[in-house]
Amino acid sequence: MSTETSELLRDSVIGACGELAEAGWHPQAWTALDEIGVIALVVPEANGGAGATYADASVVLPALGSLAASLPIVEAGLMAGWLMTLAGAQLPTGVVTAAMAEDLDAQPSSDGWLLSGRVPRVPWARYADRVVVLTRLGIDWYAVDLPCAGLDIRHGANVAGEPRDSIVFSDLVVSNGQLHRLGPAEGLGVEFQRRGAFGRSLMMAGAAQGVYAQTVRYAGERKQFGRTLAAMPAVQQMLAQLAAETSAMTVAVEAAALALDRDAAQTWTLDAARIRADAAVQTVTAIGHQIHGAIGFTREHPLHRLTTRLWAWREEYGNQSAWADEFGETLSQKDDLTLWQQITT
Amino acid sequence: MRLPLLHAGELPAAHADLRCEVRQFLAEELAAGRYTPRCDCWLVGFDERFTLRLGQRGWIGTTFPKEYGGAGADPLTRFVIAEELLAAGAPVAAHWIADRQSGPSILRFGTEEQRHRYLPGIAGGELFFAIGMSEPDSGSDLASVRTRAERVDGGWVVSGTKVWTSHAHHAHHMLTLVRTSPLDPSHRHAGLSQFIIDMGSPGVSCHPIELISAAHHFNEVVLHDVFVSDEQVLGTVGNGWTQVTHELAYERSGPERILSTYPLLEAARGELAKNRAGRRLLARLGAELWTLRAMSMSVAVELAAGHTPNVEAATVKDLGTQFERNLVHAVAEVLAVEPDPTHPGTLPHMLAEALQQAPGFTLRGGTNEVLRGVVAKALVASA
Repeated sequence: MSTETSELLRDSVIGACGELAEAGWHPQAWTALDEIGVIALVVPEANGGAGATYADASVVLPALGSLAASLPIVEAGLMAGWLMTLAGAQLPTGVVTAAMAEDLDAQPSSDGWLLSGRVPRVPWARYADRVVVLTRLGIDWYAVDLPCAGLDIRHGANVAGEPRDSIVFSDLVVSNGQLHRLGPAEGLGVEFQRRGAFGRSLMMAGAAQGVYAQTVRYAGERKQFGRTLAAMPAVQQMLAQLAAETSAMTVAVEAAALALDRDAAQTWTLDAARIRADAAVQTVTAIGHQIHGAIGFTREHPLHRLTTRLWAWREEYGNQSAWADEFGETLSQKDDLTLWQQITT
Repeated sequence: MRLPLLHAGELPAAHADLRCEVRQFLAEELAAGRYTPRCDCWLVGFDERFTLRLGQRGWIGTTFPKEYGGAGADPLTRFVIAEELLAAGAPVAAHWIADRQSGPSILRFGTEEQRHRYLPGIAGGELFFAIGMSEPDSGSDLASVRTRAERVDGGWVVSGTKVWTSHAHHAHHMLTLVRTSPLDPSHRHAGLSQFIIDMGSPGVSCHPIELISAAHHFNEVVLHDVFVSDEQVLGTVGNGWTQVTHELAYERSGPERILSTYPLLEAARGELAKNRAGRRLLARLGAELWTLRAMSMSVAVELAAGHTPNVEAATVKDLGTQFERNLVHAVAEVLAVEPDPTHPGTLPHMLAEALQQAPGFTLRGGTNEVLRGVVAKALVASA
């Protein structure tokens, strides 16, 4: 994708969202993004998506991250859409979220199954029309497509105030038409988490870009001791490091997207991007807050909308250590290739 | 205006074959025992015969036009060759400076006669260059150089002292920054020029400066009334600052700002893979290296397209050289091997050598702190 094309896409996303108030849910942004067709960007058209590339997603999701947008676009576009595509089914319309549940109890009934159990930390469940739950019943994985209306939804939140609710059900009647069998593939659960983690990394790169822009602007305007903060060597050191970390996150997530477009099997690049993005969060948020001083530490100032999301998103769908365990295994397995050869394929 | 921000770029697929060829060559050299992988190989791995073999394959001065002995290749071809050689820890120090910056500078600023005189030898792996920039009182602040040139009939007479001059004792020529007019405090960057000084000229003497590791590539080069003919002036007299700044752009974000200690990681990989802490470290360092390499490649793609991403290049140098240093300490922490400098080729030796080399990574090519000041000013100006 050329620079001009990606800037057009970015501008259209930002234009569609408009000014976003501080909130844990942005329904008007969801509607606007749905209208321009970017919610299920990488889902094939046959499965109800836009059939676009991961390179496109690496423009759209960071743009939303930079706005501190709160909506289940990662869940709908990268997770539920992927499951429904694997199942050869359609992504449901409306606000769709996704989650994984282990140990659900399933009893056969006359027209399907009776499900009991708990699905923890479902993003935006209370606002969603449907939730697609990945679960294992017996040896097979299933994508269970549930309407949210009438479900017992118990509120929870991440540190940015975004809903992370639990859904609890007992003998919930699920028809065969709502159950999509995905087969016994061992790594399916990890792959689902990996896509969620990568989606969050893309959003995080955008949030870091937002912190970077706000911080550089503030350092150039705010005066102390008769000069701008940016004129002070100690502050300059921090600004340059903030720029470097933001570029590292941006390049990592974009490079992973390009790799995935080239070869869908190169999922290790998603782990590498996730690890690098997570590693930048502490520096980016610390420098952003340090340069803003006390004002950036208040509820009134918008900086926290980005920094709290960086802290929250870093921990969701497996944190840096969890993905380091995965990627470490990958890098340890091949004796015939050097580490360099593995990461330059 | 948008703030400087690096975006991922990709190498053209056409370079994949070349990458395989270089890997094949390196595997054969290694199998034949013709080199031992070392950290910081682009400075400590001096091997004229290895360099000659690379020259014969056309892998030095690759970007020079054919009429000057090169292959007329694009800069990304050089990028691929460079990163493969460095990742292998191959001995490339003999030609590194000439291939990376002296040659390209001569190509850009030199006369037709100079190009024909120097470039074919560089590309053949037979002609070596040193960089005469730093001085005892002039480090990151290059405008303060005091080596002076006096105008005489047919040329200049140069006196002064250069320090930290890597491989000056092997180099045939030193591309030297000198003051050709007195320092004007209001125009500090004016009055500088670049001379191609023949290291065999009367009045040139070279004294070793040992490093912490007792390795010798640094030198002090004393110039005492050295005659430099007009034919050895590079570019325009008084334009030295612009030329040198251009030269520094070649060296800022290349793979040698990322890969200097990678051979240690590769050597330690088998040990690290044995336990969870080691595998996590492999993952973290692997992710960092993969990211930095993508960043370096993105800058290379931008440069090849004729852009000048100077700020982005400086950030790559900042992160990349910190990675080179931090890798050594991180590997040491998990590995629990005592560094021992006595037996080359062993893990304890590589660790010892890398520890002693590490302080240099964030100094050379302009200290990271000075570069950050430059970056910050550019950020605020574009906000």
